[in-house]
Amino acid sequence: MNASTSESRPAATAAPTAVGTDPFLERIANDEKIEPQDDMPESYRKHLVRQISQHAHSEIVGMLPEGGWITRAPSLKRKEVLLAKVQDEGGHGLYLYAAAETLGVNRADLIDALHSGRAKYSSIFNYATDTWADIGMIGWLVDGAAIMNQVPLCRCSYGPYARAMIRICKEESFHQRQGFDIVHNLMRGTPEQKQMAQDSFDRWWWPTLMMFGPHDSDSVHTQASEWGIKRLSNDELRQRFVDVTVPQASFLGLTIPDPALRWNAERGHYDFGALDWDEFWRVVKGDGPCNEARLSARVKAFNDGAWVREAAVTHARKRSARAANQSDVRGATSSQSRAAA
Amino acid sequence: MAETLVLGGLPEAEALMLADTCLLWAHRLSEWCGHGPAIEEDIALTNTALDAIGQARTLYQAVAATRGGESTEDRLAYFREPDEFRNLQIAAAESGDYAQTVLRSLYLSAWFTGVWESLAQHDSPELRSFAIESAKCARMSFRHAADWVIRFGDGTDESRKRIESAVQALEPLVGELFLTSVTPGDAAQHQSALMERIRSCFSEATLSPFVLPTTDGSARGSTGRERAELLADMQSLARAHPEARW
Repeated sequence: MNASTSESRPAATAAPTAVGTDPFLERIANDEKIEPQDDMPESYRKHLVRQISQHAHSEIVGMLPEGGWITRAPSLKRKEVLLAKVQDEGGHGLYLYAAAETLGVNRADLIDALHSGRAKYSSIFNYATDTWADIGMIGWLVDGAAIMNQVPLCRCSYGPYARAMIRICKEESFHQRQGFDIVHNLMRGTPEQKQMAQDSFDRWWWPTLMMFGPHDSDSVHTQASEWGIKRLSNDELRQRFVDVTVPQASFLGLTIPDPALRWNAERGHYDFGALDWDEFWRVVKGDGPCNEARLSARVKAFNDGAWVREAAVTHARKRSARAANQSDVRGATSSQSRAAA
Repeated sequence: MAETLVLGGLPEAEALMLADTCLLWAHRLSEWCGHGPAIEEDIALTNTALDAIGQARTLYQAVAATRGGESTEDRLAYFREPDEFRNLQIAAAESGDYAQTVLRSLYLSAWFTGVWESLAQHDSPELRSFAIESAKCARMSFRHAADWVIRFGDGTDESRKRIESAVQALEPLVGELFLTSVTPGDAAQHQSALMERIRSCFSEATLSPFVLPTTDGSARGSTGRERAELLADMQSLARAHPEARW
């Protein structure tokens, strides 16, 4: 799923420092990986915590829109594949929380930030999944856009994040293929199935393009680029996605809901219409179709599970205490034996 | 008329009973996906659900192959009426809280462990190979469920109350497991092994000893409504487009 930081305006950062005078930037310029035990600027650490945790939150919240279709998947094969896919998203969330924890934070605090609204997740999951075709679109388009964002992160400067992204990208590639396969089958199916796919495509096309974040002119990521975290700009990634996806849509027989879309031979890219940035910011700021439902579902799951987690901790303490008592008894018995001897 | 055998030796009625139980249990587990008490638990329950769906698919495909004609795994799962399903009642029951969910998993995985281990001795290599793999899955699911039952019984006051309530809630349904085994198999041995698995977990959880209920769930038919609702949800899209391929 999406590394959601591209949707956020970056926090104010210190003025960039010349590479030649900064050993940290020199390491990054030399493509060295920064590891948890290494010295790093506090602003670099904070930027990574925010980005990695938002990515983790996106994976976990992203389980919800697809999870609701597992019970209704229209064939056993689709049910099995979707269940495995959503399980993967949970696994990605775990890797990413673990990667964030290498930076000196803990999962409980990060989850608290999500639940209290202090942390964001990818806005794409605030859109509804009304039909089965939406499951295909999430796999094909949303995971496709995520891959476009995430492949460069496999080379990012922070070692644990880069290594987590290698595995995540491999799995996302399968996810995209299963999404494409769902849409492909719908487009080869009955007239109702084709209409279901086109309706869904019409709803997901623009929100997917918004996943890459604001225009470069509105998004200053100088420092993230300098730190080797963000390798390509929002607009570069969005253009790549459009260029790759338009021929796929054409192969599938889908009509792209953009009258301005046309091939520009001079640029060697597709031109496309303007995005609705009012909608983009409305959803980012919490007023999308499902913002409230998604967050409240996560908060409810966490609160409902509090007694379960507490029981696990209490039981572990009881076991440790019993083991310590037994060890004391054995120790005392052994001392008495030695004394008697 | 000779009984139809699938996978080289399993009577069709038993294959459907096993497949339907796997499918409905997997459905209930998958309802937790994204809503579990911890991410690790979402992943663990999903694992059990995936194993169960895989087993259901193998069995439905085998039944469809022996029936021939238009029979497919999806016709069997999506186009039979609720009263045609042969599942154990406990599989269709609503999940309740996490204590009831893991207790149901304990009972079913203990039962499946015995069933698959019995079929793992079968003469048919095809059935034997399927049962050996399935037994591994059932043992893993049992270990996961037992760990939680023990944590709840020997955890906090609240978790103990919840697992005790779960024992009561499932009491009308668990008896059926002791009355249902597969052929060939020693029913008495199956019952005593099942009892031992459950009793030893209850003992470590410091719960009151497990007592075999005197009535079975099938006689009460107590999850008929729940099964009908489950199937209405599961089959809704497939039935809205009966000619579609997905």
